[in-house]
Amino acid sequence: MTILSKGAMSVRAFRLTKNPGQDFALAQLEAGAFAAPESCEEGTVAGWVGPDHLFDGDFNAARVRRGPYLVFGLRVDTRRVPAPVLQAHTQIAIEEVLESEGLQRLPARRRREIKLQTKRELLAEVTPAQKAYGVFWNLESRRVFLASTSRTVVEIFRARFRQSFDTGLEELSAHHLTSKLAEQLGARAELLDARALNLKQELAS
Amino acid sequence: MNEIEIDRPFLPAEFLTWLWFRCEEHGGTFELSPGDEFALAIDDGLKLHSWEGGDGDARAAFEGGTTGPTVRPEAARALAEGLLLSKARFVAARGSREWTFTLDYRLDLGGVKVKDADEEEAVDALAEKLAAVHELRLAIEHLYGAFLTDRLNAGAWRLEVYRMTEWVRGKLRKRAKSALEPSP
Repeated sequence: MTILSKGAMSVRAFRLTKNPGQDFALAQLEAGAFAAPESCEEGTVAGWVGPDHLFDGDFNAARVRRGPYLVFGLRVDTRRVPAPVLQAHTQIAIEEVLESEGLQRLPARRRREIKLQTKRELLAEVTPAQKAYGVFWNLESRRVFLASTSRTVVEIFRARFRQSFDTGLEELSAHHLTSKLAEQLGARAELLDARALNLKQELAS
Repeated sequence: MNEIEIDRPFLPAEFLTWLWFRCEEHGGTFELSPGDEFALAIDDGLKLHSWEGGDGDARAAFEGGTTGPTVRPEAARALAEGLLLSKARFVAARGSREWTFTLDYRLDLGGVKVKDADEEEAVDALAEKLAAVHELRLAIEHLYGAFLTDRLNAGAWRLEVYRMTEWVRGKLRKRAKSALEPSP
């Protein structure tokens, strides 16, 4: 069972400008493998994982190669303190300081410091949200598919992929395909002139 | 935006609407290459909305029902109001493979499920599934290319718009006729 085996799949398609070759790709997967950060800072950390699950760090060709595809995952960990939780804990901390120091109010700077300290403490306690998104890559056709259409995940994937594999990555979005096809058809001027079809107006005319 | 990339975001919605028209008026069979047929039909989950030239940000959604959402009178009315299809669930078949999937105005494939009559013979079920998703994606890109070839040819597109208008007119007539029939 792999990340991509279960259930229905939503995919975003990409095309590479060159084929880096299987050996290089496998070595780069290993080099860009997900590594949990030592610090507990807020934010997102991403890296490659093997084909089976979130914690799979084995990029052996026999496991990653499935037919004409390299199959692996993009793991994305996000550590964040929900705003209402931070607000509540900060308020409690401020009230404790007011009481212990016998004050009515705290200056804004002090309140900010308490908020930052509270956030640091909460981040150390929060377990990051951990997700892995399947990736399959046909080396021969230079096509890569990401099993997510989320804008955030797609952006992380693009950045990570470019960094790891030293190749251009064209997102085969509707916009990109339209431009490419118009170019192939020699119809750039027609594309520029195109106005949206409105069947209401057509029915009235 | 560079010199080549020109944003016309309504074109994929026109493409989906064109697929709907072709499915209903031409049986939904497309030739990917001579003798290589790809059968397509809209299954459910229609979402329509207006684009440039439409009425503001009008939207409509149709799902389920005993007759299927594409033949509902409200769907005909939405088209007649100038709305275009922005998302739908499709079923498709080619050779021994069948797919159900959603396709939207970004041309993203969603919720792809694959059935293959030959799947018991597959050596690697995952590789087969991935190949099937890949094949579906290429088929959709091929159809989009076929659509754009007509769309960016003024004469061909004028004729296609005329046919699509007649298709909507026909749907409206059916709607008016069914409204006159006594309810059971």
